Amino acid sequence: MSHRVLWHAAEGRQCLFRQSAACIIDITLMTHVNPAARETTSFHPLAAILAWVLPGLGHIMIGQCVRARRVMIGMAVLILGGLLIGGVDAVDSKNDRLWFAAQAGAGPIVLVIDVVNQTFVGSRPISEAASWRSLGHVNSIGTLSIGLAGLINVVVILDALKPRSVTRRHRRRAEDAPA
Amino acid sequence: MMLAWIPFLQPIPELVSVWYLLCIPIVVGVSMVYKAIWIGEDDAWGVQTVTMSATVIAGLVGLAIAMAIFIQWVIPLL
Repeated sequence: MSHRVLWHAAEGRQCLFRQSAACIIDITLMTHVNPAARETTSFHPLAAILAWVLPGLGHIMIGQCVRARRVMIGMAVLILGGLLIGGVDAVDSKNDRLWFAAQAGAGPIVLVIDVVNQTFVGSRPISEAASWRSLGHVNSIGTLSIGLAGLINVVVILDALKPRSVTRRHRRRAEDAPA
Repeated sequence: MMLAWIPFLQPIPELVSVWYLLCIPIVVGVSMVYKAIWIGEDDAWGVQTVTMSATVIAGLVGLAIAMAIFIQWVIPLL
């Protein structure tokens, strides 16, 4: 275990968050991969799974910690914003089944929110649940926000699964730039 | 009403009349994630996010104005 920590520390990278997270992933999942090989490997199924478990975690695993932090912030804005606007009723697997299918892309957090909704709001009598139910535009916007989080996290998962290389991104940008 | 509100559990009250403003955090969140994936790690993510958000919101406002003109003035002429 200690030599793995030293290995990551010896990478000379500035991102301590990435080093510690990669160590935890390596230790807990026993995926002891050479960091250089990790960045050149083109297919990362485990990173895709981690990207669903917690948006951004898959990019930490493949060494893109700046991108991971940005994804986490954006997903937090969408999910927490949806919850703030629509409450836990914004995720409802019984009444909004198709929306829930889209929202489930954001990971287990959505499943937890749905359990909270069904347990604490769905079980209450209608008279008591009135202040917990969102209606009209407020419900629509809250549901839409978390639904978009789930759909865009599919893009994040695909990018973690097969990331475009940095050189390819820069080459494309150079080609797009006017002469 | 606001005193009894539990954030993140109960829906936010008193916002039905300004529901269209709630699109702004959605646009900002989508722009954040989209730009996080699309641009390089060394690029100015904040600037690109603000630019994309402003562009999308301007597009939404433009569509709203066009729809209002169509409904208020064009349809009555038909």
